[in-house]
Amino acid sequence: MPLLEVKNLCKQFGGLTAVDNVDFRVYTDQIKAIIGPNGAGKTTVFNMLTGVDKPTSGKIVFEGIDISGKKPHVITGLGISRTFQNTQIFKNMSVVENVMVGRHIRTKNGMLKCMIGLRSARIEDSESMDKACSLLKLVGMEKKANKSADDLPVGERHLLEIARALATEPKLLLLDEPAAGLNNEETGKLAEVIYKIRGGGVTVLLVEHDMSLVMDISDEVVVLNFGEKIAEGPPLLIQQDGQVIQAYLGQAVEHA
Amino acid sequence: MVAVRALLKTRRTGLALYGTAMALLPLMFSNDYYVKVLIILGINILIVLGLNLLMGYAGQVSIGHAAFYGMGAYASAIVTTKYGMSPWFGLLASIILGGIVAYGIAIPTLRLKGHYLAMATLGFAEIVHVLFLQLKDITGGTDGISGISTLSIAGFLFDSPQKLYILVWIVVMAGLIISINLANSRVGRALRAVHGSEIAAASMGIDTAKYKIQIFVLSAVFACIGGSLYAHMAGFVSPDSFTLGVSITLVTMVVLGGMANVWGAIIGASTLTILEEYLKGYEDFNMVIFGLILVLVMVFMPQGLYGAGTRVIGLIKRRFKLIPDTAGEESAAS
Repeated sequence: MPLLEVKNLCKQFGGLTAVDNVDFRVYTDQIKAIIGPNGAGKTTVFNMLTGVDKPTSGKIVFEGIDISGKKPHVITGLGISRTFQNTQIFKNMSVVENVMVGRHIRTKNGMLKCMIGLRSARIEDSESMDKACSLLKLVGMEKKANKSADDLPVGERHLLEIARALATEPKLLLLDEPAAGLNNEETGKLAEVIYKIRGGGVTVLLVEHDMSLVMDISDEVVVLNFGEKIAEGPPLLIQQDGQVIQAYLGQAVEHA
Repeated sequence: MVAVRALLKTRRTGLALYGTAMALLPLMFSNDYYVKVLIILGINILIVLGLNLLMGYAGQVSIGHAAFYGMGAYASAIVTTKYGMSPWFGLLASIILGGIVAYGIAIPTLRLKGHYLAMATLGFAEIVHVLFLQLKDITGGTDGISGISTLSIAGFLFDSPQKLYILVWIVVMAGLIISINLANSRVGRALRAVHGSEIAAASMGIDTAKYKIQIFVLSAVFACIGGSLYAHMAGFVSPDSFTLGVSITLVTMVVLGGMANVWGAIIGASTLTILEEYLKGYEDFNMVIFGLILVLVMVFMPQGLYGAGTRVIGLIKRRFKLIPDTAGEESAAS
């Protein structure tokens, strides 16, 4: 059984069809990439997978459960977590607190217990803190734990979002252009982090424009163009696919 | 982790110091009038602590908290004068009424964002104010309600300002401890996450609607308790005490002290309450000054007095090399 199965997924914004009848499957322990030119509908697919947008039609099945149209926090609870293309870190918190927010869904104490400062709430909090620190270590940011998240450079914002998303203990991690704004060295580190994540038993689905990164780390690639899936397969085959080359480079010009 | 424990320790020390200082403060004044001002100050701090949780932490603006303040006061007044019940039932009625109304208001209005939410709370407060004026049979119209009895515990009457002050400050300290606990808890982080990025908060598994409603109700209950204490102190309530001007003053207190900081709420409420007393002789002129303060703070020190203060102290420490520049990094590694 695939971990995630997307069936005939469609999304229309008014008259515009952003995602048109897309199917794909993600299997446990895969690293899978979704690529495509700007406006191909990649982020819209992510938004539907995480409940931010409701599909117009089609089905999203995660571990045998139909999650299409469910609320974002419910989907996170089921085991899908994500990062954002335009990073959405909590600038009003420290780095480690950002990651601790990710523990929210796996912790329980409600408003009353927190107000009174019950022992159970404090114990849970220090566990969240330990977990957050170890995740910051995983992405190589443990030295910045107490810095304000607002002071981080772009590259580290992406890494912080990854740590935060991992704190929710996802089975499937969605990365939306994690290499945007990174230099080559940082992208190399990112690839290592993604391997480590997969090594830890988390399946990874990413949207990315950095082709060398995608071709390097992905087991399989899905190519979208104008909302439709035009190809799917291992990186080597995708690179030679005529339709894909055409989507990226345009129609080959016939010389007389 | 060491850094966190140290922080907890300073937090507790600060709380103990503040609590002691405030308990001793009325001893400095022989005049009842000053003690009454201190009681009003305590009530304002309580309301601003609650409003700060809503505005500063969760990022939801309310320009209508005078309505909850007033509802608390009127509920207490009506229960004690019309039905002759114990003032404690008045306080209980205030909390229940405020909680229920806040819950009912929160569900539709918290779907709104930014200015729209501010407008909705403003409209709500105006409606409540009109009800205070027009439901003459219940609220006494412009005359208000007088003859509200004082609080007592087992025969001990809080009948002098000095005695009532002790009660008010116990309540304020409780409100302060609750705020501090909440701010640094799982729920507090969820609230700040809603403020920071609602979409990211939801993606981290936070039920944003639930927490927005909860914190709105909590902040309304803080205001209602403040209103109830006010009614039993003054012995008299009228619509004049719960106008739009009061709502705006409360917001100004939150902004002036520094949003999303418990101590900032105390600083803001204290500064403006005392300033308001000084400006009493100038009637409506104080609204002009408050408006000016609001604008100047937002432009020149968006972090409020508390934020500006800590920045100045940080600069001084660094200037005289009292702390190394990399303080943040080494504490995190331990």
